[in-house]
Amino acid sequence: MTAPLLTDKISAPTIAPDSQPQQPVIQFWVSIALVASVLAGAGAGLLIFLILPIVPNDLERTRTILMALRSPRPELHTVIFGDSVIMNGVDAGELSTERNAAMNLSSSGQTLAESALYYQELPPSVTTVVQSVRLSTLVCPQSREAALKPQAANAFRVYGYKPTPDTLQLLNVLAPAESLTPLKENVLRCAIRARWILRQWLDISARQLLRPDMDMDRAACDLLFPSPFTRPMEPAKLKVKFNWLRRQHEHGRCTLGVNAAQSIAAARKHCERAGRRFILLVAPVHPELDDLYEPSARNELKQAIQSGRFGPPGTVIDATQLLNAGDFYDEEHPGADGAHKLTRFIKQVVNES
Amino acid sequence: MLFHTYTFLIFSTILFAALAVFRGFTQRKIVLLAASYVFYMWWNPAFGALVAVSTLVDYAIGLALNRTDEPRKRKALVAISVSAQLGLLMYFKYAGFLAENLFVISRLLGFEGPAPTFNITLPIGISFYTFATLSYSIDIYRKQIPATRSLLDFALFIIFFPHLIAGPIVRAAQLIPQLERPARLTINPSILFLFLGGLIKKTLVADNVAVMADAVYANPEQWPSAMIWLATIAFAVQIYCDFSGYSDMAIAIARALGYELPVNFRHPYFAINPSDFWRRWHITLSLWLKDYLYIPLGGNRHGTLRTYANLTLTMLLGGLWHGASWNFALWGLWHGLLLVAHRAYRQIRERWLGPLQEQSSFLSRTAAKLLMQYCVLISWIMFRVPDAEKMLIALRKFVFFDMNFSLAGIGAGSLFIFSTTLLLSGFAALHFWSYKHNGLHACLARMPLKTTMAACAAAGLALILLWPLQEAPFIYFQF
Repeated sequence: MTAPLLTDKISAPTIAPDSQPQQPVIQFWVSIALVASVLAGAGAGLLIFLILPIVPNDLERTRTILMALRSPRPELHTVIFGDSVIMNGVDAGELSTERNAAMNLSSSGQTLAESALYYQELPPSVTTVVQSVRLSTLVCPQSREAALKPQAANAFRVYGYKPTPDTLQLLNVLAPAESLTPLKENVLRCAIRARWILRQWLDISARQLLRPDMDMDRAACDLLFPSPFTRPMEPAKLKVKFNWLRRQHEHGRCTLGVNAAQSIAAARKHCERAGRRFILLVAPVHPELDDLYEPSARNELKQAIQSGRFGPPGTVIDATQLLNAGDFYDEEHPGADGAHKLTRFIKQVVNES
Repeated sequence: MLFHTYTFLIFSTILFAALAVFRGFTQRKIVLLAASYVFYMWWNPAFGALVAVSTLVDYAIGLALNRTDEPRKRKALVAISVSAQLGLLMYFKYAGFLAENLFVISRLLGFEGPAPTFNITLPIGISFYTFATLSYSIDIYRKQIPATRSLLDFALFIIFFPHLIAGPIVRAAQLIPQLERPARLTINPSILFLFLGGLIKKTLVADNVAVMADAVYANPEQWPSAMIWLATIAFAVQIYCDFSGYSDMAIAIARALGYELPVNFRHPYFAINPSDFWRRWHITLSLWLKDYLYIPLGGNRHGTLRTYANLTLTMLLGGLWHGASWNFALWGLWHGLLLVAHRAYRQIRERWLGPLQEQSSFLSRTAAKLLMQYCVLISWIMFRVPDAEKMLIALRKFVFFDMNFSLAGIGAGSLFIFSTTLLLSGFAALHFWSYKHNGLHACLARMPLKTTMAACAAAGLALILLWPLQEAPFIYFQF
């Protein structure tokens, strides 16, 4: 027999069991009905996936680009891929001529792997692909996981994209195998993964109020000069940003990455096999950030370009030192003058080659 | 195995099926014991042996304590128990931390030598079950409870899976008597709402607001004060929903199995002062610290200064209980100082203005709540940011508001302001309702069936739309 417990001496919290007025059997069946309600609600939630493709989000430019490529214009000859630096930095209208139209198909955070997804959709009229990459992608150590973000891959699927075996083969070089999973998922898994769109929809609504300096409508729809950043950043903020970027960079030694060269070679080969010219554009870098890249890395890059490691002469544009500080709106995005300079520079190379 | 995973769904289905088949009193306890070991060893099978050894040591010591009345022998026995349990905790949790700090001190004193390398895997939940076993032997030593003769009951008390990993910290006096009588499997709406509420807190609120807190605290220097504030509030909600969500699910599962676990949270963000906060936040830990640390240190029995020192030391150690890192120590110290400041304020106020009135005005209560939560938010920055430099930046921006509301310069894809604010507002509204009605699950259980079914359908809808894509472990698992 156990001795009486002296629990009154212990200041443990009191326990308040539920009062259960109903019979346990009734309660059990009520619980089953409630669980069924939860499942019914979850089932109804699945229907929302039907409207996801039309919900505004940060990656809806993917839809704009895919739609444009699926309804091609015969005069489209040149396309430019890249990230927000190119969105702000290249005016495809200025690059176009009467018989040779160009399109700026860059999008926010677009990586080489993401650009490569569009290659299969390019219409036969396209003869020149200008592919932009950042200097940091070429010379600084970074994770391969960033090569194709799951959300970006999922956005392609949501907008009806399916990679061909040829594209998947190219992507195996450009991105780690696991990052390709969202591209291969079935429709249900793809829809479940696409719930980020709902959250972004809320957030971009707020951003339109909070970021008057950004033109998100233009960024989503404009295929010539999307230019989401519309005005220069305040100098004090820019200084903070530079300092932060420098601190971020402190730990990494810059050197030309083997993977980068292989990736570019694979992308070039892919385009050339389809009968297209591939021009590599190394995007401009703000002069304030020059010191982030060790001189040895820059020399390495120069040598690599001269020796043809990234492609034959005339097909590589090194725009890293093209722009002055005043040509930028912020630490990376060219302003109107910068865009004009960069576009003229690209036009020259494209026409020459 | 996490409560909100498919693995746990399968585990619990098998467990309930087994309990339905084995209806004998002892049979069910054996099934529960086996299931609890499976649950624990899912992470790392080797650590099952560690819990088993702890269990056997304290079981034997408990029986030995029961057999003797000789003070010296009893003292020696309890000392063995405490040393064994704390020794294991020190080795697994604090050895690396101590070695690192000794190394830094020795370098400062001019000694040269290689930096120590410790690669010890922390057994999950060790802080929680160590406190449970410690309280058992100390309570027997104090003659507050008798030692249990049943090894099965004692082993189940230690490893009972709902409370094992992240509490609530259960005392022998609470669980062992329940294990000595037959338990009845129960499924009722109240249990369902409690579990569902915990699940929603964890997956819908905690894991979703964490995205913003993580983004901001990764680089606090990059963000203006407004964002630091929002991220801090987001983290305060995240940690509350994460931990209390786990506790709710644990209590609900235990209730379904026929056992009652102690309450761990009582709307802590409505606390009006530091003492009140600790009567509402992680209640089982604060009571443990009070009973087994603060009172043995002398409590408030040896004068004002000693009381202050005891309070500070208790909270400092309470902070370190969370993890072997200086930011946790600082967090504990801050709470200790808040308790001291509050006690000093009360004493001074009572001396000059007479005894405090219980019924204070709405305005003064609201002001007290806001001030208290301001202090709590500061403490969450200490808790969340282990890097000293980043912590100072975040604290400076939090305390000295920069009035900068422009968000230019922040990457287009990195803003979660609106959805996070919306989630936080939704949580705040429900939490306030729960506070006013003494618990949301109890309130729902009283509503008409149609209303509760509609609420459940809404919960199902929210779960499918907002369930995070990546499984996030509970914050308190690391402790």
